[in-house]
Amino acid sequence: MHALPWPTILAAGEASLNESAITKLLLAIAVLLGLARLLGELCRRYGQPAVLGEIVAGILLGPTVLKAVAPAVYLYLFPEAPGSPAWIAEEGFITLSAALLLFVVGLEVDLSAVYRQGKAMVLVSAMGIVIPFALGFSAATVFESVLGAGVRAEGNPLPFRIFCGLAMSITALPVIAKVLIDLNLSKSDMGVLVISSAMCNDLVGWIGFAVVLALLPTTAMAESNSGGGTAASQLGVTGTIAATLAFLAFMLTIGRLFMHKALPYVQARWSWPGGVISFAFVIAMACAALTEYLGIHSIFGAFIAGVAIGDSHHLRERTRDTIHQFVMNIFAPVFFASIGLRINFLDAFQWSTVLLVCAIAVVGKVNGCYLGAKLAKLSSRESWAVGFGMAAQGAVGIILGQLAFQAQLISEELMVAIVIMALGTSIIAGPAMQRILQLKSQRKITDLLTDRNILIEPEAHDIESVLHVMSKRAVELTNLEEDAIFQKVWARENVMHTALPNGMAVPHARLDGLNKPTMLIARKFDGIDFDAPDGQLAKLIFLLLTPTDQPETQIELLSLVAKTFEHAETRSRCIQSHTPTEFRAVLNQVTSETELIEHDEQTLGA
Amino acid sequence: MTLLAAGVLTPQEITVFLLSLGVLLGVARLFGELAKKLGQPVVLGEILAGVVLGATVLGNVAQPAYDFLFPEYVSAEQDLDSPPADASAQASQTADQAADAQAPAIEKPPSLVKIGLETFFVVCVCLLLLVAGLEVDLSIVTKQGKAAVLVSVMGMAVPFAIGFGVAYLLALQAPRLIGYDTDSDMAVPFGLFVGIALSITALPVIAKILMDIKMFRSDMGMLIMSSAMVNDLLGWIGFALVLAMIIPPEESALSLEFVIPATLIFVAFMLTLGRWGVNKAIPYVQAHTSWPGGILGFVFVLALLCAALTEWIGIHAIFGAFLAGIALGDSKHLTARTRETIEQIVTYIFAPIFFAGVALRVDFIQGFDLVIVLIVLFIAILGKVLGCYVGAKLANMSTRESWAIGFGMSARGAMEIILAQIAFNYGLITQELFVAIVIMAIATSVIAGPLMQKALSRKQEKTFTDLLSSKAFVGRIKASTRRGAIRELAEVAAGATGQSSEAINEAVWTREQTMSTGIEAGLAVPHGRIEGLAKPQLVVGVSPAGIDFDAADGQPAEIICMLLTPAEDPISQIEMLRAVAEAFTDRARHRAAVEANGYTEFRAAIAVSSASGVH
Repeated sequence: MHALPWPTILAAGEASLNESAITKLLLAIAVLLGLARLLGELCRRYGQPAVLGEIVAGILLGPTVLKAVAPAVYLYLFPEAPGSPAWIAEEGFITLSAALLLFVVGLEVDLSAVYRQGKAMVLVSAMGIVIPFALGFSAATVFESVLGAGVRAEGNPLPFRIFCGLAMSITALPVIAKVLIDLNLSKSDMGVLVISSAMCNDLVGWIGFAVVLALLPTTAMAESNSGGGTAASQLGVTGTIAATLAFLAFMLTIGRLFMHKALPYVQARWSWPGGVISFAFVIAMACAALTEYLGIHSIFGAFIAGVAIGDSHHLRERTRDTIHQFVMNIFAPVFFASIGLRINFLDAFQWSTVLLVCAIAVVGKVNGCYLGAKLAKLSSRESWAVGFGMAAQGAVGIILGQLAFQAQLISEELMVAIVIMALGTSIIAGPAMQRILQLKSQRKITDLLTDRNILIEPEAHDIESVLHVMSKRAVELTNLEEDAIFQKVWARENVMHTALPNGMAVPHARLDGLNKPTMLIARKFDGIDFDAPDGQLAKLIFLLLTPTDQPETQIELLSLVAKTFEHAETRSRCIQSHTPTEFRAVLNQVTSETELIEHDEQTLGA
Repeated sequence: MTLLAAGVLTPQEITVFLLSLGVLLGVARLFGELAKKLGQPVVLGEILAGVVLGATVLGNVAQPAYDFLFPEYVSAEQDLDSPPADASAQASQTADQAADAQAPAIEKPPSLVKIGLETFFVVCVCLLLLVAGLEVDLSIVTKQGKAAVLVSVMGMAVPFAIGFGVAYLLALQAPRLIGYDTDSDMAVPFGLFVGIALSITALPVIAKILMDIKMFRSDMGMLIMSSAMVNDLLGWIGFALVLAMIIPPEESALSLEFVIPATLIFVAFMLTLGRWGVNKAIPYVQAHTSWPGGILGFVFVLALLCAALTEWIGIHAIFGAFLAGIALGDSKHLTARTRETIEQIVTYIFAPIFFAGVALRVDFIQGFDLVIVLIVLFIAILGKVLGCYVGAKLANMSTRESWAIGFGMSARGAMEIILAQIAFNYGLITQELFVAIVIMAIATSVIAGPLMQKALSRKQEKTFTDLLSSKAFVGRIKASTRRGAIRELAEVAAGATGQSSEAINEAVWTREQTMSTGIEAGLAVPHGRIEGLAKPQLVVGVSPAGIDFDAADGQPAEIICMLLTPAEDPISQIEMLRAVAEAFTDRARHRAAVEANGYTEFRAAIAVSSASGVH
């Protein structure tokens, strides 16, 4: 029976995945994903892009830290044995992650929005590409040794130089979109301009990168491995470029039209939403396989497939969101963490390279976009803001660096420098724009609350006692005495009751010498009579304390409460929470969902 | 340190890897949709896709295409040249070492694409079981109490006893009849395995069937679900024990004395402390991390960790993922949206790939043995239906309901296939028996739904999209009056039904004059009973400008659905009215339908669930 050469799918095969390989593999993915998500969340908490934490997770688990501290653990989880099943499995998973990641980036590009923007967009994105590209290209020519070309670029500097130019001119769409929403600029003219320029940038950048990859001479190793199986060796450089451009032209015209026609058909006849999700994935895989076959990277095909599909307004928000969430939260962290997994960042860190790359990227991009925006007749202040916004490279820059490194186009040192530059520009983009435009970021209700701010079922049965309890808690959270707080709030309450409709009440006061605006929430299941016009008992009581010298803050907090608790479902879920943590979980979900919808409306140019 | 840069996977391998994933998913989904269209479980189509793409059909018909897409070994050309592992290893190791590592395994090294695919299948099946676990609701199990226990115990014990008895006897007396490998010398585990394989009910398949025939929320549906859950739990624990008995000691360094207590401790832990801990942790995760990214990450990390743990204990990884799913699914803090995101991606991306992968490498023609298939089918259906029937009768259910429960519980599917796969991989069963079990699993899940309906003599309710057809779709109505609109619809109806348009027009207009058929919110349902009509017919027309149908709320009708029913069938008209009203309750859906261009877009607008109304 064992003689049958029937291979195993799940376990226990010779030279295949055996049991311990599966254990290790699952464990490795779990550890990678877990730590990446954890650090990603930490970064997000401090207002930084999550990708920063995800990369740091890889560095911690990789040779830089874990291998130096506990080599045995590192080698158990991530065995350094090229060709072993675990290694290949990991490699395959990461390849897939990269393709899906770019697919999602492509989905966010809205070609019709790009067309609509017209002159200003063309100016900003053209200047934003040309100037940094020129700087990067010349730097690569002059300082080739400092930047460090890869093995395959030796004797053929052109692809390397073009790449350096491109790497400096990339813009990260997701980072900018997030910054604009935080600053409440997403609906403004400037916001739309920045978004569409970034989309245009993305498109040009990836097409350029595909050309660079096609220009690369195939190494002896690659030739022996491919065994003449791919088209690259037969087509030659010009053939590959021509085929790529033909693919691109096809996908963006006929392919796009086809998707637009096919999507309603799939939605009509296939189960919803599964039909569309799998349709999208199948197209992505097929395009990725095709471009890999043509001799450029598989991610390019996935990206173009994303652009073609994402452009159709028949693709529902909900479907888009599901794909987006899944890829961004499961596949993307694994990919970003894997970057640091095999590289020692300390060894590869070179001050000269890092400084040079950062300087070129920031100077080139900010000035280029500033110039473009000025030419499009934006004010100086706005133009600078556009410049800093567009400088953010984020995840896109990191993917580009990683892929060029894998293709042996650039050295390890340059890859590390590009990663650091991409992270740096993403971190400064938000604060810089905020400073330049002198804007305040939107206050979120979740930022105002800790577990201490929420009282579940306080011991109180009328207005006075509940205000007493809340004031007592407020003492722990502010710099004032209980009496001072209570007297003010009680006095205000006696002038006129502060009940809102739908079982809410907002007792409030302005206090002299208060250090920061403070909100306390009491949840009382049986309700307290605040003498509401609609006769309902108040089950959610918000105590709003604001400093006297900030008169506008009180109104801001009031409208925040009204907006957050607009829906009956939110209110009832909050009333049913048993702990402050559960209460905050509900609020976190509600605010994120609102934000998500804003984000979609904005990036899709709806 | 340039290991990664060397790129273990060559461009060609990446091409094939991505392409084979795309093809597997595409064909599996296509077949799944077809199966659904024919009223069959989706999983049936997905498995058939694997049969078509795999060794059975593609491998026999177009060998080169099969070898290209799903290579088993490194291609001969490359093999002679230089194995890829060896090439990539040059950066760090010497070629000799790499060759040493490869050589002793088998003559031809397995293709890297195959390893990549297999890994992906492992992740897929873990995620599938995670979703199955999410569906388990422990509180329902306890609520159903006595009846659930009776049905599940009888539904477990009877088929197990029959399966074990027959398999054990046949294994000793006539091993060929049951596909027992006499060399293996494991008659007892073999008998136990067959008994368990025949007594497990496939929870996801049943849940899907119950939802399809709209009985999930009924009392009987809940009873079946809870019995199936108990069944699943017991079956998996039993199988884990059998598995521990058969894994050769040298393969897992762990002994049976370790595996059994470790399994039981893990199960007990996950169902009590683990469940409690997860329930506490979820609100914390939701409160402090981005939504829904944080919770998605948490769910997956937990599932993968549990999977790795059970794999390490010595039982299969899917077991851990399943228990993680139960612990997670039991928490009421896990919001519906999160479940939905996980379920959608897993059921529509990972599950099809896995099910298509199941039959990919099996040659059904080669392994098909009619006698074994018949024996397995017979025992499986007889044991399960009888056992559950008796259990339900003992719980004081009516005869009719008891039969329905018996048929419902007899659905196998994913679970049996996974079990048989593992047993086959460990050499416990022969390929013939494996094929027979796969066929049995597919056959029982196909017949379960129709048989249940038959036992309850209950017709499946038709939805609006079931009634809709392109032949009876008018599109934009040109007329602006009630009279003209009805005439236009009647013309199309005549074409679709073969009746005269005059007769239809006459019947509907007469009815319309007695009392206008405009219902609220821009909908009108003119209708008539037609002599000699073969079956109920729905005709739909859209008028964005609106036609006055004299509705109570004064709104003109934008969507006009003409309902024609045979004169002798008074019930179908009411059913159709209900279906129409249900289809347009959602305002967003109504809007999209009015604005739709042509039949396909109209159908798409209705098919999309009302949940998509979020903008």
